[in-house]
Amino acid sequence: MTEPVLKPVWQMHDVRAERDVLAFWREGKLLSQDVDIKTRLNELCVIAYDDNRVVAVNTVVLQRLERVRARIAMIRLAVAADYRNRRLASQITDMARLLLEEWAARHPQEKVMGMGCVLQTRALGAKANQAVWPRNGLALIDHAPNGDQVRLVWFANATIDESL
Amino acid sequence: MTPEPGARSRVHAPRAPVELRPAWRRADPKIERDAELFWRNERILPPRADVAARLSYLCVAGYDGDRLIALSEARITLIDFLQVKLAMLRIAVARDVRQHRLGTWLLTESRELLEAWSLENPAEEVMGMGTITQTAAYDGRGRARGYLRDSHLAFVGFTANGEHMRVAWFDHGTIPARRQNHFPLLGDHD
Repeated sequence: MTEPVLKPVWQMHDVRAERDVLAFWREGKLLSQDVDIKTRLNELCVIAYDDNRVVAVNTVVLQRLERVRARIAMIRLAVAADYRNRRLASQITDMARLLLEEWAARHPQEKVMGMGCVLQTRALGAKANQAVWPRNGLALIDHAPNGDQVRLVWFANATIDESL
Repeated sequence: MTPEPGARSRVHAPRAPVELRPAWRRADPKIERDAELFWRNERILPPRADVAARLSYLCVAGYDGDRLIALSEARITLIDFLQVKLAMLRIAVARDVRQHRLGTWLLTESRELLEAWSLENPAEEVMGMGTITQTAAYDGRGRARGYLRDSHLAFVGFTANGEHMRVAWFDHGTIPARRQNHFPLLGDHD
């Protein structure tokens, strides 16, 4: 097992990456039958390869986060079982933040103001108790109805739109 | 706590002379006297305000010479939706020196003071500093920013009254891994 290599694929529609991610999802049984695969592939942001095998996939959905009434890039992450607890998720999240913030700055018409996540994993240990994750700035802003943490980091020039 | 423009890599410096003095949990008689006079002169206190309680919340006082011109108060409050205790900050600036970034400076210094105090007093379990800002204050200055770099205050949502709530987590701040079902209902920030 070597050190995985991260690959940014946000909005790139990289055919090879999409094929490899489909294999990752299929092998991990991560897609239900009713999922719109085309839509999910368009949400790819950062993936991790070990040699030619995808071992982690980060997807992003641009959506309104009601709590802050802003359009936020909500990230999700899946890591192969044998690659967990190796800081891979942190590295991918850090890269996703940089990638998305740069993209948002170049596409102001998209009005994407920050990056957020709903913390669904139970395997984070003490990290889940940190109010702010210093490397990427994700900080607690709320809880989902089921008790999961909702975290958000604002992009540098993000503003609050009272009219939304 | 005398500010120097550009000190500590801050983005903003006050545009009026001000010397900040720590007041948090000091019961400093001079600052308490000056604070009460300041509140009365500025007509800040509501008629039924509990002055003794308000004096116990004094956090940082800003002086121009011998005149108190700006004040922050911090009230430790349990915040239900975050399930932590925050130091909810309230600031006031004398009318004639508003729009000189004294408030920004006061927020930043208050955060640093409270963070250091929280670190030295872990039993208090105060994990960050919070503010509630009336949005009307931003009229004419454009949209408010999501994140304030000097004070680390990040917008976390609107109150029921449509005011902005912000939180600056302390670096050592911790939170429950998940929301607990049974958390005491909390007094609102007044």
